[in-house]
Amino acid sequence: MDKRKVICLAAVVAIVFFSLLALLLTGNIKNGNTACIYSGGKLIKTIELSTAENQTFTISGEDGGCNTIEIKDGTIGVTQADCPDKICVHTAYISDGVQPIVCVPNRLVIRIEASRQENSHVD
Amino acid sequence: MSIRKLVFSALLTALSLTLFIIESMIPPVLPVPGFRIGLAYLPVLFSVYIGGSWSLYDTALILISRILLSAMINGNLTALLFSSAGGILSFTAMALTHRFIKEPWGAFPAGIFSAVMHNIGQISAAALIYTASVFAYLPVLAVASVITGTFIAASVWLILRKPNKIINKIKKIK
Repeated sequence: MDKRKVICLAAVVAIVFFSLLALLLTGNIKNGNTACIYSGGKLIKTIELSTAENQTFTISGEDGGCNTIEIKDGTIGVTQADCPDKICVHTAYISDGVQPIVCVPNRLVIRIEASRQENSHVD
Repeated sequence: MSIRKLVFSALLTALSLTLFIIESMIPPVLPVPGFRIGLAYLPVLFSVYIGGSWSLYDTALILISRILLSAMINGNLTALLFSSAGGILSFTAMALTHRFIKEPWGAFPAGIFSAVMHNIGQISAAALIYTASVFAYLPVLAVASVITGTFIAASVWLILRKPNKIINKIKKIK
């Protein structure tokens, strides 16, 4: 077999191999999930769940309602609320975009969104 | 350059432009921005590998006029920047491959390398205008362009692999 053919074949295989490698590596980075906390329809806080430390903080809504939010091992949930129905507290800790945590009386929404970069589209 | 050669170069340019327009009508196969099959490079690659009295200078003329005309048809200046950045790199790749491999099978490496280089140029231009995060598309585009480049090269190789009356006539155009 021609030596040049071998070189060309090797180069093509190398291109495919390295791009597949890059695909797999960037795929892992993209899994980063951002928790977006909305109060009264406005985005007030974003937290990168995969890198955030365990913490608790309190968000007060427009009407004075308070929700205590806890971040634990890459998941986010509501531990305490002064709303009457406590639906947000009973919602389990979330870490994916399947189900948001909603507290209707305090107008609080916690939603998991994929990392921002992915949404930008180039034409 | 004789009139015959000028006419045939113009014919290849028109062919490339037509393929470019037909290609834009095909719905995108991959949901990645910037992905194209690259049919417009078929006449370009053909003119590189036909040999005879055809030089890389003619290929450069065909490629430049195709890029300018397609930008005029689209009326899109950013597309002109992307395709010229890709065009320069892919022409370099084709010229380098042709420098070492002059037989018709060289169309395969030339087609694949030029397709990959075209995407690298395009993405780099996009990174300059938008953000550097568009480089995330590069691996997908590289794998896709290996496949499309093989397809384009196979078409050129099938035309050129056997000596043929018509091809020999085109080769002799001075």
